[in-house]
Amino acid sequence: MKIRLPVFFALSIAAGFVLAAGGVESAQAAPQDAAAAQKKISYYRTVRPILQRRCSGCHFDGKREGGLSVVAVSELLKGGEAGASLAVGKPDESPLIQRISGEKPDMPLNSEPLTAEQVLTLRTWIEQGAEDDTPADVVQSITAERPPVYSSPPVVTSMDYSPDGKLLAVSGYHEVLVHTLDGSAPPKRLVGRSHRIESVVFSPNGQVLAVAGGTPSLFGEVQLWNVAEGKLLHSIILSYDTMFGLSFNNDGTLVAFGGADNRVRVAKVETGEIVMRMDAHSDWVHGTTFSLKNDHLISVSRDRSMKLAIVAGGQFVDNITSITPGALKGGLVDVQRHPTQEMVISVGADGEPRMYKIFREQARQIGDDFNLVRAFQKLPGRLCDVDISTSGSKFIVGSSTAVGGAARVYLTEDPAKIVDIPGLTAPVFAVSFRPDELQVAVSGFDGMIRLCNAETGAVENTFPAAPVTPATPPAATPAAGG
Amino acid sequence: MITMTNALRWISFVCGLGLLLASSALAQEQPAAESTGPARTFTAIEVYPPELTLSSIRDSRRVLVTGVMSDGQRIDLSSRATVSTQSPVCQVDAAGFVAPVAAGEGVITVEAEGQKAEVKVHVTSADPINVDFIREVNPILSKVGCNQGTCHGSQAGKNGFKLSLRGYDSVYDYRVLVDDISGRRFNRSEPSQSLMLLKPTQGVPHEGGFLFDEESRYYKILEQWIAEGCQYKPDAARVTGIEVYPPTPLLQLRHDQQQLIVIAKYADGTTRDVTREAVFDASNFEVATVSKQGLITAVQRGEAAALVRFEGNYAAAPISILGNRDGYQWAPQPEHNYIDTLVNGKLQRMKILPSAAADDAEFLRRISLDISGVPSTSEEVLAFAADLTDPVTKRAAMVDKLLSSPMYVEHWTLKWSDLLLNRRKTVTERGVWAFRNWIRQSVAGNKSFDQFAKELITANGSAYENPAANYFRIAREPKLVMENMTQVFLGTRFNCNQCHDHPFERWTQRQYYELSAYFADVGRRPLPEGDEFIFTMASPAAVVNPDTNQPADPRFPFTHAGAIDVASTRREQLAQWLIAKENPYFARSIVNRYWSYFFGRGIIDPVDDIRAGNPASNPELLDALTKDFVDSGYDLKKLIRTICNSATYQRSLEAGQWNDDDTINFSHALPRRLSAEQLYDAIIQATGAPRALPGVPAGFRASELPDSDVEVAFLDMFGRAPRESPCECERTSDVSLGQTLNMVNGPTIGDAIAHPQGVIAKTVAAGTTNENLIETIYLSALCRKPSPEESTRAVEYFATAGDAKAAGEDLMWALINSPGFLFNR
Repeated sequence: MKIRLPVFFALSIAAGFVLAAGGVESAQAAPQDAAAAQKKISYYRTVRPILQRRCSGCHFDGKREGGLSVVAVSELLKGGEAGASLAVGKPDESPLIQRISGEKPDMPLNSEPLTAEQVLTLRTWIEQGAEDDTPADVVQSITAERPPVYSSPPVVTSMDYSPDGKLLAVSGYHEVLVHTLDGSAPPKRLVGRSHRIESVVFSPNGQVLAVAGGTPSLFGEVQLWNVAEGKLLHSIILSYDTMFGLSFNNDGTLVAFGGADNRVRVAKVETGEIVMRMDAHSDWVHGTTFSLKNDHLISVSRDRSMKLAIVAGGQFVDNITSITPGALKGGLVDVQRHPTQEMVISVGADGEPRMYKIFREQARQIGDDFNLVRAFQKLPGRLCDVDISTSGSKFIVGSSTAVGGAARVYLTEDPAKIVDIPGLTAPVFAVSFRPDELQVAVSGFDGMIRLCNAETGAVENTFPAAPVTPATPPAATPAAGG
Repeated sequence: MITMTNALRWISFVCGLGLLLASSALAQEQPAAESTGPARTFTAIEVYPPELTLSSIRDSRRVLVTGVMSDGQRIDLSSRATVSTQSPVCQVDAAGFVAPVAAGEGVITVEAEGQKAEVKVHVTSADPINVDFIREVNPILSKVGCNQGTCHGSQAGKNGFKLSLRGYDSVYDYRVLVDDISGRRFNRSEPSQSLMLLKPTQGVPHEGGFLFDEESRYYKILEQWIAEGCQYKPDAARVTGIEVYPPTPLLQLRHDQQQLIVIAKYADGTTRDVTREAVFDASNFEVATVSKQGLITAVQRGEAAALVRFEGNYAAAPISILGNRDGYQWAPQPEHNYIDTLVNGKLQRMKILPSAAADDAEFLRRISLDISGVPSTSEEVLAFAADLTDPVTKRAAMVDKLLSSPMYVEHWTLKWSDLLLNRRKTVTERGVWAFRNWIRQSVAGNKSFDQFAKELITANGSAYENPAANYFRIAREPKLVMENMTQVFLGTRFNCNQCHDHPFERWTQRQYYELSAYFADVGRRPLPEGDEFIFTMASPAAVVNPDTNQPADPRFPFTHAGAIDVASTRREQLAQWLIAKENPYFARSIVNRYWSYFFGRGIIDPVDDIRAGNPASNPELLDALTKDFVDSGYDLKKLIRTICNSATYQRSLEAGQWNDDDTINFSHALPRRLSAEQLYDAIIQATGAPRALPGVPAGFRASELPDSDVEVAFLDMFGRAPRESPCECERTSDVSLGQTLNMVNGPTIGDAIAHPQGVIAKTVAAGTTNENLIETIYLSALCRKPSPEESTRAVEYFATAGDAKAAGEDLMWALINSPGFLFNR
């Protein structure tokens, strides 16, 4: 089940012999070649993995102990609070070397010192000019011309029907696939920089597709695509981990999203500029939705709270729910506004969809749940996604028990009436209501998309989220560079 | 009048202030680093196991290689041996593990130190099979430490990623890896890009650091599991136990090594070599270290244990490091009963030579303190010395005499009042006296121990009329009663598994609530005068497990062959289960606890923390004592008699060249500081001052106080048990500066020594020689006569001091501050 393409980190395997560094079960260290010191040391193959393994746990964009990140040569040159980490050509004057050398080196803090070979490698690299030989194409090894090849369907984390109901955008690995549902064309592949896609949403007029995701532990990204042309309009790179939970305002001029940096943001679709930030959450923000009048933004988070903020300026207004009663670890996962009322439906780890008034009508009390309109029948496991139909009369929810899953259509006004999607055996991570309210799409762990009758639940069509190429023979070696 | 100048002179005379020097008196000398000894030559090698059976493609196993020397000594050569094979059915990997290639018969060749051996290999199947989460993935997360308490196993996890502590909940862990944030942590499309592989290899920044690389076996197994679609089989066979080979590693010299092999047994009957997945630890790294790969390295002579954990199962391999014992020779020792045979057996294995027997005075003071709680009186010392019967008979008679003395009853009533937490704060003053009386009568009548436990656990009725029912007033919640019960009657600590599975034992959180549920039928109804009526409720209250939010059904944490009447009430069933002779903890834990009262250390120590990771220093001895105790009908007096009549108990404190570093094998007596009550009563006895404790009738000893709510600052300072927890550790025997100052300068001692009705005042008033006065003081304080040298020096001092009474007080004061008084030795 390999993608037969060069892979970002596979190169570090090739450089494995320099990496044997006090691990539990490290590969056998090759004897130190005396000549190695004289050879040209590659930053990308040799230096980067050492820094990555021994230093980046504390010195990366997300943490920056002492103000320093070691994940790029440019960062080392910039340095931290104490100034540049490198003195090019002069290892002895480079703070990086000073901190890791000596009888009892300062760094790594509370950990085994680097081996003599590792220190020598870093010294030599600085002596030789501290060149950055990171290949230019490494990050973009998967491109529109070379889209991913799947030996099994990718896990689907998000789906959205286009407003005309003809297209279905589906998350893939490193890309979004836009399926034409009448089968008249192969899926359009929107390949971007992010490895992981967390959220896909069409703009109200269907011309723009917003995509949130990123590469875990490295960066977050929001992509804005021109759907008709398959062209990337904006790539907004943010933070050091993924973005989640996209939503458009009514006229499609703004897009809101949450992030693994606990932050809520709103970007202007036309320019990609961030126009609002809100930092009231204390954990990852998984879902957003605009109020009916578009002046407020509602967000839900792993911190188990649903918060209300003003779009203009980002001022935090209120907790719609402080801590969701009974919410388990995992918190709230998704929220969507009713199309015609100032109400939202939220789903999360406690398995119970709930409808809330957005605006408070009674004075707040600690631990209250005044805004709750109604709770709906529980699904087994944790709820992963919710989508409300065009008129607001129905909504669909997907859930996961890790070893199984479920999807259910609810009537907004009648909690007693439900339609269960039959035959699901895997966790459901993504659901979407077709704008005509007649069909729902359900997918998740198994990467198979089921289009089901919204009235009966009957499965009308099943197809893989991405074209699948049969697996290569097991003898094939892992992709390694080139 | 005691003058500081005179006192200081005495300090040097009587070996200084006991408490000041106590730490050095107790300190063990560190043996010098061992030499590595002469070059070794081997006459043969042996391989364990003698044959290998590999039953599936990833069932790879390693062998232990032992070199046999001409003198019969056996040394582990596993890490130096070369294992190779020409067979097409198996291969040997870089770590020396034999892995299957194809089904069939084969052979491996083992070479070490010029010796060679062959081992047959049967491969029953080498068909490819999928990686199993429970069997293969979760153990790796435990091994590399992902789920340890300081990382993702902590209460809140780390960075939003939380695993169950040490992987006790595999469904939870699977869920976190597979469906948290819609499958963020794995990447089926490109397994090497899975976050759960990029993090531990530091392919992306990971605060937990680098744990394994892409070439490692751990990586390949995780990668394969992801590539196969992250499957989960909830019905996968679970581990039922682990075995460690060799079970009792014996190493000779410093730097010697011994590889361990860990075999896990599964519920489906299969076994698996989990040496690479098991987590190793050493109980005492000053004696031996154990590497992450299970390699023991000897540091210095001594005993320790290799602690092994795998998937919620625990085992300990007791390690013995002999060190250089050139010149050691065993000498035949007197053996009074089976205790001596078993102790001496262990001493011979460890090349220890025990101390000689204590002299009569030393023995008499020790046995008096241990059985009756107070030192022997001057009269008893003189009478015992005058008795010319052979020492064994004479000492046995003294044991019997003390066991039938009233002081025996008081001393052991105090111990049990401590353990059962009898105090007025919980049961009212009247309740304290009633419960104390019940304990007292049980001790006086030598009630069989199983009956004692049963009466407590099944007690009903008025707490004043049936005082055993106070047991349920002291702890009022099923969980608390259960915690007290397990610690006192099973010697185990169930309180650890209230919030999560026990971190060092197999006990689970579920079992905590299931066992507590046996006390859910205890009803309490108030009666007049602070009394309470305890009864068995027809419908027991719910004991809710917060993890599942479900009421727990009563279920025993382990079963045994003993009969249980399921028609009886919950507490009756519990009592039947508890006191059954088949229960492996009940008799064993009390025998071990009683042993510790006579030696200052349990055979398992601490005595109320019995678990796999805390092995017995002499398991055969503990087994024999337990069997004897059960056979006797749980007769505590007989147990004490057997212990005290052993030559082992009667050994001297003085250690020699071949046992001075021994603290765990009972080759010599260990000094034990007198308990708070013993100390107080001993001071009164030595000085002859009258007893006047607050809140009790005149003449009461400290050991007769009903509870610690009778305020006596001296007793609190010396660490009497506050009776808040049933832990033996509640009663402290540590030494503080406050204690020292109190002993040197405090009113308790000063007033007692100078008391006008005291020994010194009376003896001086009666008119006597200095020699006689000195002997009287020595006998009163130290329960022995002075040595000629001590006598001579004291006479000289008396001559210079002039005033016999003042000199006598100085001497008494100095002796009370000496180790010979402060310690039971």
